[in-house]
Amino acid sequence: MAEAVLRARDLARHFGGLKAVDGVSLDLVPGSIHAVIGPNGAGKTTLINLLSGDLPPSAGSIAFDGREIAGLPPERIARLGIARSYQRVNIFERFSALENCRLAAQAATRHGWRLLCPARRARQLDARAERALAQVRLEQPARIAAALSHGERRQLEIAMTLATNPRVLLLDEPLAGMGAEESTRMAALVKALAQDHAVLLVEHDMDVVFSIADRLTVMVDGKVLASDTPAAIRANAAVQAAYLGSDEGAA
Amino acid sequence: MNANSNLERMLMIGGLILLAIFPLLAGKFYLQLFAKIMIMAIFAMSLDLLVGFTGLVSFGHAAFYGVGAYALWLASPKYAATSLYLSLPLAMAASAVAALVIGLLVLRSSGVYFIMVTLAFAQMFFYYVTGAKWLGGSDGVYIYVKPDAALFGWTPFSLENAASFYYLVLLALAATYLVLRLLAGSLFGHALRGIRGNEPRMRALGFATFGYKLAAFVVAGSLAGLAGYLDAAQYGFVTPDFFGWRLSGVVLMMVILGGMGTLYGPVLGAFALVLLQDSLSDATRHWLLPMGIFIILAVLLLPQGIGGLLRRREAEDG
Repeated sequence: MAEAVLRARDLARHFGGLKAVDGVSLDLVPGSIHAVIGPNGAGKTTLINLLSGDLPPSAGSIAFDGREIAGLPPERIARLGIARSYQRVNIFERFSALENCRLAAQAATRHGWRLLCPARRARQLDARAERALAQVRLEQPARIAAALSHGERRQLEIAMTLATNPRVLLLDEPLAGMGAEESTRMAALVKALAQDHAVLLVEHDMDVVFSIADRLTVMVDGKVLASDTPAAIRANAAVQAAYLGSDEGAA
Repeated sequence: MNANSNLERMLMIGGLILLAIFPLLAGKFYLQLFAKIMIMAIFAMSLDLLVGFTGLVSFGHAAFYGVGAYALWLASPKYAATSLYLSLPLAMAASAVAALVIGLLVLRSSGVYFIMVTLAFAQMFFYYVTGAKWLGGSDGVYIYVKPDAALFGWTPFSLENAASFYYLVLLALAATYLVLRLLAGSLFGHALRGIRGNEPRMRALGFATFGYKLAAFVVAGSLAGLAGYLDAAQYGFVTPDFFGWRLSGVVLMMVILGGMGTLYGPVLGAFALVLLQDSLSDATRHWLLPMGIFIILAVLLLPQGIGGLLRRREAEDG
C-alpha cells in the first residue's frame, strides 16, 4: 500500500462543552478513497474543517507529507495541496463557471507583478481552468454560475477544487441533493479522481459509499466507532447497532 | 458584458469630451464648482475600490483625504510655491503610508466592526489635528501660493488660472479612472471581487486575502490623498474637517447613490449630489429636506445606484 500523504492523529475540536470531534485518527493515501460516514451531528463536516484549516483543532496533529500543518490558516493549507469542497455549494455566483475555476487556478499560482495583467489574457490559468471543467464534464463554461442547475453547481464546485492542482481532495457530500442519474455520474467522477488524488469523502448515500470507498471510517458523536474496509464495516456488529441498523438509507 | 462595456466606454468618452469643452462655455464660478465635483469624484472612485470591488465598507476614508491635503501644506514654503511634481507624489505617498499603517490594524476586523474601526481611526486623526498647534489646530491652515507647475524653468501652465487648474483635475480624474479600471480587470481585481463575494471561500482556495485587502486599501488611500491634495490646492485652506466623519459619510453616499463597483457610478454620484445640493440650497433655506427625500427615493427606486440604470443586472461582474 502506498504511503499516506495526510495523517491525522487524535484530532479534537471542542465547542464549549461539546466535543464535535473527539480523538479522530485517519490516514489518506494517494489513489484511494477514504469515506467517512455517520449520523447527522457525528462531526464529519467539522473533521473536514479541521483538515482544511477552516477551524483550528483543539488538540491533535495533522501531518501532510510528514510536515505538521495543524493550526495553519486555510490559505496556507490550500496552497500546500489540500483542496476541499463544501456541503452547501460555495461558488462565486456572479462569475462565470470559467472565471470561478480561473480564480481557483490563480490561487495556486505565484504571480507577483503579473497579478496586474488583465484577467482575460491569463491564458495559462484559463487552460488549467478549462482542464478542470473538462474533467468534471461541465459544458458551456461561459455561463454565469448563478444560472447553473443544482447538479452543475456541484460539478463546478468540484472543478474549482481541481483547478488548484491539489494532491488531497476533501469532499463534503458531493452528491447531496442530486437526482439518481446525476449521482451515478458524480460517483464515477469521484472514483476517477481517486486515481491521482488522495480523497476523503463524506457522504450519506450508503450505496455509493460502499461501492466506491476503499476504506471506511464510521463516526458517532465525534468519535471513531470503527475504521476498516467496506466489507468488514458491513459485517461489524457495533456499526450495525449504532448506525446502519437504526438509520439505514437516511439521506 | 461586451455590450455593456461598450456602453460604458461611450459614456466615459462622451463625458470626458463634455468635461473637456466645458471651460469654453462656463464662467469661473462653474469652473471652480466642477473642479471641486471632479475632486470629489476622484475621492469617491478611490472609495469604490474598497466598497464596491472588495466589499470593505470604510467609514473613515476621509483620513487619507486629510493626509493628502495637509501634506501639501507641509510641503509648501510659507510665501512661495512648492513644485507640483514633488508635492503631489509626496502627498500620495504620505496617504499611502497612512493607509498601510491603518490598514494593517483595521483589516483584521470585518463587517460592522470594520465600519466602526475605520471611523474611529479617522476620528483619531481629526482630534489629533484639531489639538495639534504645529498643524494649525482647529483653525486650519492656509496655503498662500498654489503649487508651481514649472519644469526645468519652463512653466507649461499656472494653477492660479482657473481653467488650467480645472484641466489638471480633469487629467487626474481620467488617470484615476484608467488606473482603477485596469486594476479591476486584472487578476488582482478579480481576486478582490472574489473576496467581496465570499472571503472564506477565497481563503479555502488558497488566497492570502489579507494581503490583497491591504494592497487595495493602500491604493485607495493614496488616490484619496490625490483628491485631498487637489482640494487643498484649489482653495488653499485646510481644516481638521478634512478628516471628519461628515466627509467620509458624504463620499460613501456618492458611491452608494452612484452605484457601487462600477467606477463611473461614483462619478455620477458625485455630480448628482453636489449639483443637487447646490441647486436646492439656492432655491430654499430648507434644502436638507428635499435632499433627504431625494436620497431616500434614490435608494428605494435605484438599488444599484444611478449607474445601475445603465447596465443590465447579469453584467454586474465578470
